[in-house]
Amino acid sequence: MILEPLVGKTLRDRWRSLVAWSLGIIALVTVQMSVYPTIRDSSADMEGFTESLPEAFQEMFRMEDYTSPAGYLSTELLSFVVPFIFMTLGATWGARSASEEEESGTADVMFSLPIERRDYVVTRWLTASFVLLGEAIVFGVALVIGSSILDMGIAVGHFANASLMMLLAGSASHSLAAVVGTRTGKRSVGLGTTMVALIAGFVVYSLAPLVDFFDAVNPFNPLQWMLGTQPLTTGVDLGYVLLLLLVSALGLVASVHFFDRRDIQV
Amino acid sequence: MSAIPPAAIDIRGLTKFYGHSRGVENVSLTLERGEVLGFLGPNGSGKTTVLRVLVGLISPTSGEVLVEGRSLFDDPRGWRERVGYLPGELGLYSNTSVIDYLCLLARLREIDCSTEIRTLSERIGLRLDARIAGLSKGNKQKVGVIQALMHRPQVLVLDEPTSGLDPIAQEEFARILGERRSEGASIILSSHVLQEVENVADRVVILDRGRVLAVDTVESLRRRIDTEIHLTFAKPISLDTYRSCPGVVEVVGDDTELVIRATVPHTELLRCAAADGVVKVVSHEPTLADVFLSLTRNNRDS
Repeated sequence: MILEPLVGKTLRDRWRSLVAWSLGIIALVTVQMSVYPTIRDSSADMEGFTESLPEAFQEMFRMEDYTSPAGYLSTELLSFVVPFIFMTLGATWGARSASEEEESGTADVMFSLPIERRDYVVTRWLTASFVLLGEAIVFGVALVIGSSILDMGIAVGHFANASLMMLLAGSASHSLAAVVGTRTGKRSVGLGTTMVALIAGFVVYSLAPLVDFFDAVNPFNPLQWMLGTQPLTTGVDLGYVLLLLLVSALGLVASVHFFDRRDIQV
Repeated sequence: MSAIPPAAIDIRGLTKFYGHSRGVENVSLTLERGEVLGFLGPNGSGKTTVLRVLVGLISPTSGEVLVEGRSLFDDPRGWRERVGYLPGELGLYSNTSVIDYLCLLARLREIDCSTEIRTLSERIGLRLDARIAGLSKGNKQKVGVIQALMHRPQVLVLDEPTSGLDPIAQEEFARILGERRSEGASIILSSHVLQEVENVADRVVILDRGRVLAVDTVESLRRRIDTEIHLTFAKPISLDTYRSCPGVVEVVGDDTELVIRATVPHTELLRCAAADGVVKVVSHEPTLADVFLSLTRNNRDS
């Protein structure tokens, strides 16, 4: 059961922060898109420059097609920056999902109420998912508007794919942080562990073209599932989408399991 | 005002360890319907541990808690509908008003407490439109008191409820507790204010180092420790007469002024004193504080 009063309270408490995240995403998209006409106008020079870079570097940042609209946006927005914004947003919400009440000292009153702990965790999980969805829509709409203004000629469906992948990246990292946060009751541990895991995953993902071992394990790397597709050109990989959904779902189940069975900390 | 249906709690062999550290060990207690049970104990004695197990915030390592014969852990949510809990370390959402906070809790309880909230806030003197962040410690405690009472629970679990409250609010709070008790509510009250416990509790539990030292009425507990009696005589008497009296633990002084520690009854002692021509008798009835200190010291000495 969803604890509706808690959803409203959480969103009221954090609306300023959410507006700030939205403005940040819009500003990033705006700045990157405003540079594109310059890149397009000097495409011959840029192609020469990108071709001079090592192939692995080009692959890492998706620079194979840097001067096309979709290639440019993939490199500048989807290869690293925006996914990590969503991962960080997800991890921040996940880490505080249960530990926030304990760390602020409000848990004793909250969990002495006749509510099920699993309902509490599910409510926080759904609220965070709703927030991530909202930010993914903001990102998608900003891309559509910018693309339309610059006449980039990218189909709206491709931007929806990009938004979907950002939502899934945020949701998967949210779930990981929620598992650690609910298990330990410590927000800092949840956030820290998740960010370290994401960075380690990114190292494996980005060095996979150069290191055989990383290349071998990369198919099992959630960062590969998050970043290893080209949503603006080739669309999404259904297998990766399902794997990321599975990670999110397992994270929810594990969070409920851990939080239901442990003592509430003072 | 509707009467509150009664509940009875039976705690059996409750043990809680935090890792290797003992919270409480083998605590067995009962809370009768309409009874006020006072919890006393030094810091770290395990009072809060017992209360948090009762509310379902922590699980016992072993032992059980029965509510009307059924385990509390069979239906913890149903149990918490009937409990009002005021934690010892009260944390509130600071970025909201008192009324919004209390209404949020009421909505999570899925009941309308608006009338009760208004009544309680008027009685203990708390502005409902005030921001929680700007409240004094005492006023924050009043918010905690209201949230514990506003749904008219059958069982009240109160950890240091009057901490920070002004004397007027304390008096009103004691009055409210009396009313709730007369309506059938059972109350567990932990406090460092011994006078408060002495005034409101039907029975007192004394805990030390995680174990129950005593569970009894204040009167019976008083009888467990020695009374100090000062006797003054007009002419010299023999101290040995008093050392051999039943119940006398210690006799000090000279042959005209004695200080005697003795357990009740003092019948034989006073008969001897009268025969020796005692001119002045001063007796100090032990307070709950005396009982508490005596029992915990004896526990630590042993």
